[in-house]
Amino acid sequence: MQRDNLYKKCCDILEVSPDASMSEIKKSYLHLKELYSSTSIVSMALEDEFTASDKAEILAGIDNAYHELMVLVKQDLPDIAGGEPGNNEAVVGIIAEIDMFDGPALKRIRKKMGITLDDIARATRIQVQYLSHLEHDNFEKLPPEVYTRGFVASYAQALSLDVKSVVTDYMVRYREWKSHHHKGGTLVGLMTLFKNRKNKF
Amino acid sequence: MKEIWAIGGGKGGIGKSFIISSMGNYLARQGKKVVLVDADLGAANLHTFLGMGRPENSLTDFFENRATLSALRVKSGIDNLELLAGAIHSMVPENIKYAQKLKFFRHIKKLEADFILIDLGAGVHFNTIDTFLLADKKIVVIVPEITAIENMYGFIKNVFFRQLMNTLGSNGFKDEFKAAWEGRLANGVTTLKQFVEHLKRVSAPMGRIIEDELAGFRLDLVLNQIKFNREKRIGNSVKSICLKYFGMDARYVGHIGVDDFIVSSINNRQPYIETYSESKCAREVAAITHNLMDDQQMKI
Repeated sequence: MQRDNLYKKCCDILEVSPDASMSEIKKSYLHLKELYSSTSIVSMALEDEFTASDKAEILAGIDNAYHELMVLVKQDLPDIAGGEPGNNEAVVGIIAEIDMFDGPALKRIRKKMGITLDDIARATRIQVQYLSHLEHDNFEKLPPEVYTRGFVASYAQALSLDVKSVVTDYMVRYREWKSHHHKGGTLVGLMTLFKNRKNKF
Repeated sequence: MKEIWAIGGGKGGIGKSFIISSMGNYLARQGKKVVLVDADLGAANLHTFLGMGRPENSLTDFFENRATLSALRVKSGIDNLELLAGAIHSMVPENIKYAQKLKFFRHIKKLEADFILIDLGAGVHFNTIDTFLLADKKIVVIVPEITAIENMYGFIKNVFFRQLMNTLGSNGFKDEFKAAWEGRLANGVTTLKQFVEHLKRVSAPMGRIIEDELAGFRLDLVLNQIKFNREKRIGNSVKSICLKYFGMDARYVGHIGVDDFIVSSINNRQPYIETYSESKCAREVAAITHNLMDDQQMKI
């Protein structure tokens, strides 16, 4: 309860809603930092009214809220996984059987740990729909590569898995799909072009 | 449930009439019953935005006791949308007496409609501000220009000060408020925020009223006439300054770009939002209207 209140208080100062994603929080934080540490047409009209120390106080509040929020988010991570997967034999068994961390494998591990997608969403600030696409290998529904990589890493971290091997496995298959996808596109394009020509002549 | 929306912003020529008439038009086409009130008493021309000629009767007839407010409504030619016309040059906010103003407010609230949309003139006269304060949704228009932003701060500071004075006055603290205002400089108070802190300090009951009654006070910001994507953030910046410098709750409900066809539509007496309903600006107006209806901030 106390944690939630503190979380909300920090979100208020950073001017985001408590269900904002990590990237939204960061974006707002950077925007506010810039706003109160420089002069723009928005603040110029108030130069006489608010002093440098007013600005400094606001800036300190923003920095403090952001750092507190980061601490809270980090605290959330090990909590939901209940410590190392090594503590749970059944989970260790499953992980030992897995030779490739793909979406369905990650889902199996998560289910065995008794963790819901909502739990992960809360800890990682990633929207549930993306987590679900991730588990179903719906690559076409996932964001561009750099973001997907980040999502996979956060997911693995939330389950206390070996982040590096999960990301490597997952991204190999993602890139494979991506290269096919793009080639496919070109191929279809060429075929259509060819077809059109045939019709023309 | 009936809702009153008012639009203000301090400076003239920033698109207040265009925005409020477009929102009214949009709401009417969604099947809502709308009355547009042209309370820009010095330079009323909302009818032009609706593609109408100047109506014969106007608010002047109401203030001079020749007609009831309800009888002055005229059809706009758009289903569900009626207009209460203002009067050009014949009236200025200064000329309205206190009793007339109260009567005006009473009758506005009684108008039969789903939405009553009030267009206000530029400036910070207290009659303009009081009309603004009447509304459930207090819409403030800004454009990315320093002069407009300066005027906007002047406007919202006046709005907030007036709200503070009205609230404390109606709770029996009129004299205390006046005394605190007169003694502000001696107490080192130079900003609005400091004045609010000062009021809370001198009297705990006043502090409680400020906490309770001003908690629901909120402004809805619309950023108009943006030419570049990067300007969108000005809305977030102004919202932040309202919160952090003035301690006023504000929401950024959306932005609208520029489109040459807006001016040509007005000149041709065609409502832009109808003629160009699929244009970018028309969709932006629609999104803002929905955010206001749904009580939510703009989606990033």
